[in-house]
Amino acid sequence: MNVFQLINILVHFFSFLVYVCLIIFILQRDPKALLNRLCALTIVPFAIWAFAITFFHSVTTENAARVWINIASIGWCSFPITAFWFYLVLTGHETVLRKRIFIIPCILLAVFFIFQQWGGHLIIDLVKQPYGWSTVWATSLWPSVFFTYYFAFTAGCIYVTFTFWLKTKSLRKKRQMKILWITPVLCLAFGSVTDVILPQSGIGVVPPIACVIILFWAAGLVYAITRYQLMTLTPAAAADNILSTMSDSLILVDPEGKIIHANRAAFDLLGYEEHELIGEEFTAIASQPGSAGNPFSLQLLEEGSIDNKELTYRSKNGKELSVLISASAMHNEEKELIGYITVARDITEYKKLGQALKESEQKYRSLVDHALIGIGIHQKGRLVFANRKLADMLGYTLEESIGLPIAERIHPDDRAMVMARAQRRQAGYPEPETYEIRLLKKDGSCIYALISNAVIEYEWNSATLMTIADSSDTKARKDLEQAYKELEAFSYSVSHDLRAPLRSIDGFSQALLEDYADKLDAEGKDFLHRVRAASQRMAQLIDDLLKLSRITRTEIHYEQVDLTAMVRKIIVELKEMEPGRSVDFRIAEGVIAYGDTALLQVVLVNLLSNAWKFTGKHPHATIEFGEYQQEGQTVYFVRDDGAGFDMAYVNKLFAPFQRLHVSTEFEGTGIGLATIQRIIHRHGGTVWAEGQVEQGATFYFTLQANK
Amino acid sequence: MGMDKKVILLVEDNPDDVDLTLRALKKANVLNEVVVVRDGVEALDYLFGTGSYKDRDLSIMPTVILLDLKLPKVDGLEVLRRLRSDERTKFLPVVILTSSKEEQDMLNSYKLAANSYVRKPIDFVQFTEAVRQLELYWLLLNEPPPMKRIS
Repeated sequence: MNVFQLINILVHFFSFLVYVCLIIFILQRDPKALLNRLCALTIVPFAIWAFAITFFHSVTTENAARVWINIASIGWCSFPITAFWFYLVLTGHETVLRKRIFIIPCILLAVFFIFQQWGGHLIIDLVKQPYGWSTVWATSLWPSVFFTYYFAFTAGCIYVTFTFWLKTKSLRKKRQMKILWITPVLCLAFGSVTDVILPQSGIGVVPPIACVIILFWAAGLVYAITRYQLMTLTPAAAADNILSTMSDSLILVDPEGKIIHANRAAFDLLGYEEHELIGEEFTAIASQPGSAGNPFSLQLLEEGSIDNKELTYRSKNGKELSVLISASAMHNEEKELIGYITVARDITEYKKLGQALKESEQKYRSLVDHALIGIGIHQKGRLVFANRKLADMLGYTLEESIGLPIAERIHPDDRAMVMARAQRRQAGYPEPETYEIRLLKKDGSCIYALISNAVIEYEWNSATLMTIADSSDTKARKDLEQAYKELEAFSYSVSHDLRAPLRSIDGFSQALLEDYADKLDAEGKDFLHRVRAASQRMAQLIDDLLKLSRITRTEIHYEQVDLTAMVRKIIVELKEMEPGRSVDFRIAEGVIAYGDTALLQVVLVNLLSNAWKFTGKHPHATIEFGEYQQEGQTVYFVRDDGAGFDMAYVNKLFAPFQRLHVSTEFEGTGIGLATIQRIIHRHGGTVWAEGQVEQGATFYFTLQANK
Repeated sequence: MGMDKKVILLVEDNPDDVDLTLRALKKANVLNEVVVVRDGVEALDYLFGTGSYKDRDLSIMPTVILLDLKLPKVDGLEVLRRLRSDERTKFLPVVILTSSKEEQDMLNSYKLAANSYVRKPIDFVQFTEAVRQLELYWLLLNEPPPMKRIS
């Protein structure tokens, strides 16, 4: 045995050992991962090949060498298949491997070529060389078929890796794929030279060492897997990753209490460098709040673990950090303590936040509890929260108030208004945020309340927050009620006492006319007729004045009012009273208002009658009714093209008994517009007019206070 | 017996109104006796035979009472209330004849079972016409309730 042969044998044997080591290494890392198994399976043919070639070169007889080359053929015939499988899985084509129609032909192909070799169709001759044996391939078709198979599968490996390398956007995967396609290309090139091209060309100076060259490939596979963790995610790899990247601080402590390991989060939290912390006493950085020493480790010793205990960590710059720590003692198989694992979460900010939240909550809680106004939240029609003041206002205890149906606490006359306002607000119409309603107490009595609503989120659902001020006792209300009472008394006496003398004046004038007709001349009779006419006119004025005061006194019942329908009805009546007139009406469709039906009827009757009356001198007239939006408010209007008025007197228009036309021209007491103004004001709206002499007049009104 | 004698009781404090009402009744050719009382107390005295009317024959009850609301001492509504709560006068036809057109007055009157509510028109011609129709209805057309004889 010469030195070349010895080196050759040792190199192959060494390769064999390396292959075996790689198999063990890869399986040990994670024996369950498919990729690891396939990687090992890919290396097995290499190992068989290297093992057989070691003996191939050691034997002296050609027959023995032939036996070993045939054994080696198990390796070199099957590795293209296993390698291809591995590459398929690597590049995400795992599903192909699950198909028998793919797997079985692959295996049959490998077996076929092994039998071809054993049948003497591939390597037909062996030649003794100084380094061992060289091979001579058959000149028939079979070696070409084999080489095609071998190149095709190896090329397949390179192809899938290369395309994956092109496709993937991850830089990490690109690096892995580069290793995985460059190594087989190189091995294929060199292996082809040493094992195929050189023997074929007859220059047998280099021994067939493909199985040694392929070592680089196998090493490349293992390196790619381990270096870049290309394999499917494994618990071991995951645990490693979690420990180093988790946001909680991990510190491992030995049984003597010295720190032996810490993760990045721990270093970041405490501000130490790795070398500053390792080997230090754990108690140097951790202590129990408000006590000396370290009872924490005692408890650990006794119970084996602690869970979410609050500790204080001291950082490098002396800052105290509140942490929640969980720790457990670790034992080896002999039940000896090997150390502690501690995981701590920094709760300093949480604690600050919690404290701030608590203070804020307390502040608002006391604000709500001691508020002089009632505060409540209602959801799905029921009160879900009430402060003491609100409960008191309604005559309930705090406990009783929760769950009260809110609608039942509203005075029946106000319910429709509140509901309609709520609906309109939800539909996006501008509605006053604060308005007055009457609430019913538990005992059935009634209080006036100013209420303000806001839509809020309460316990993950939409709810309404109400603030309620009791306005029953406000001075203004008392004054107003007093004024109402006085007005009532005044109206009553006007109604009775002012009319009685008028009746006497009229009655006795008539008596004079009847009984003393013969003693009166024509002028005297005319005077008496004038006395009668004047007293009757005064009676009319008194009646109108009473009507006006009645509007101030009557309560408003809010509801939806179809103004369009109302206008049409009034027009029919006007036309019936004076059928000969030629008047064009332009009535807007679907005008809906929210107010008191009877009072709005008075407004429209007055406005339309005026329009009708003041267009009476024109041969043809147009009267228009409509609405428009202005600054978030609905403005209603009645327009005519009649006598109109001089804008110079516009401020006199709405005063009671003010008339811009002499009564011989247009009849009336001058109370209509004053009445309208009062009704509109009572609805919280405004009324105004525009006009021009002989060009017509337009009367506008709104029904809500402009917020 | 007083059964056939139809008396009208006029409760009115304003002497002008009394004269005008009497004039209107005369013009409407009402020949029945008209008893005029000037306030609520006097009205009740007449109806229940008390005070200055304590010797009155109570078998004669007015066929219709024309009652003003605004009266001195006891007002018209109180008179009506007492009338309606006494068996003897419970069913007497009462016509409220007043200046007021207050809703509240009308409502209270009807609540106390007034038979009619007439507002005195200012125009004397209209007033005469109203009185004439009242007389026609209550004295001629209307059948009075059967009265219990009061001994």
